[in-house]
Amino acid sequence: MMDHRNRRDSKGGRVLREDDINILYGTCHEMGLDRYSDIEFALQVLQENPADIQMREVVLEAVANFEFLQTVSPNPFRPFAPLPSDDLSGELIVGRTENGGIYGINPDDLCRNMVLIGASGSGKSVILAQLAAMFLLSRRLNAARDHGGEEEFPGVNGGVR
Amino acid sequence: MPLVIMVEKRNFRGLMGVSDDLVVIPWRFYRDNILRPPPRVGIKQWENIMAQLLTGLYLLYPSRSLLLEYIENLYQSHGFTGQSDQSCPNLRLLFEREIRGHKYKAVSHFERYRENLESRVAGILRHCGEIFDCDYGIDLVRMLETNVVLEMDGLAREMKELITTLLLTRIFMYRLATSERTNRLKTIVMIDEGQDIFRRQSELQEAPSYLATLIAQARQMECAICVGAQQCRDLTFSLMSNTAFKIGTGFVDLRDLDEFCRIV
Repeated sequence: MMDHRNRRDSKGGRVLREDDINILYGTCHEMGLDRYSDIEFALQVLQENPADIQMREVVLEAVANFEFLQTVSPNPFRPFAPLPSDDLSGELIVGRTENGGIYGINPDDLCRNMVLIGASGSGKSVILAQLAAMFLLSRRLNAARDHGGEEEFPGVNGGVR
Repeated sequence: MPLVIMVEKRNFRGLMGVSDDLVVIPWRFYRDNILRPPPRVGIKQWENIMAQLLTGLYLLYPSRSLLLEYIENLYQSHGFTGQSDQSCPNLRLLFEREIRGHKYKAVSHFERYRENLESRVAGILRHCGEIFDCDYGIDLVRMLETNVVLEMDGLAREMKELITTLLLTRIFMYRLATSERTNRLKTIVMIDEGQDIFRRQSELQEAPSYLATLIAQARQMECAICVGAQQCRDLTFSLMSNTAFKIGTGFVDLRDLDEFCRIV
């Protein structure tokens, strides 16, 4: 079955199945487009009236321009997920992307240093502790592998008490 | 790949449940002879670094040459040549024999520099003299083979900065003296509540501290530095410009958010 998100028109823009509002809604949510007030409004109208062609065009145009918007938007807190070309497959998991994927950093890339900024109680120490736990667990796992054992990676959430 | 964590609270003790070789050291049990160079580092190089580090921390740049002279005199009078099995003078000895032992004319520049040094070193010894009042201190090589959490709760800000800078300097100089570049991560240093250590205010007052030099060299030493802090605008420019990963978990106010957006 073909993934609807990968269908493109002649200009390279994304094309959706126009008759399926739920897919359209889900796609907008994945891309973070529903956080824009005009798109959110258009989606609300479409849920009430799927036949509203004008609103459907607004949403489809926003989806088609998704990559363009992602490139030119100067706001670093734009609600878009990272580009597919970004390497997020590192071992150190610092969070999740907008579409639910894992956001991981390669340990060797940490040589370029990391800074965590946050108000009191926002989770800085927890992230640092989780990172430390991941380091320690991966070391233990590697040591077990070197000695022929089969220790399982226990997961990051169970690591810190 | 050893992990060195420097924290203000005791909330990292839970990591002992994850790793058997994690050692938690409250600062009262930490020892470091500031005048003993790390293994394979020459005393000439180390005394220069120490003079730079101490005078930079307290903004006593005019006193640097005098401090260097005192350290050299002390090494000579003690007969210390940098061998690891030799007895090495410590900060208290430097204070009592050299800094207090010299007197100049009351109106001279030298006396003013000496008085500045005396008051600052007396402050260090008063705050945490037991840390520096030792011959050997903690074994750096063994420390870099295990994972360490250093708890600095209750320490004055300057002392935290001094201990952190000193430990980072030791790690960096040891790495520089012993290893070749492999482009692989060798040490991870995590510093929680880093706003006390990487203070922008002190960077703005005069020339950057020795910590700024260390941060800039961290990648070359294959050492990762992860810092947690409350406000972006309190952190030094050297730290912000030398970090590739900047994670915001919530901002105090719009001004801080604006600052974060500017540096990302």
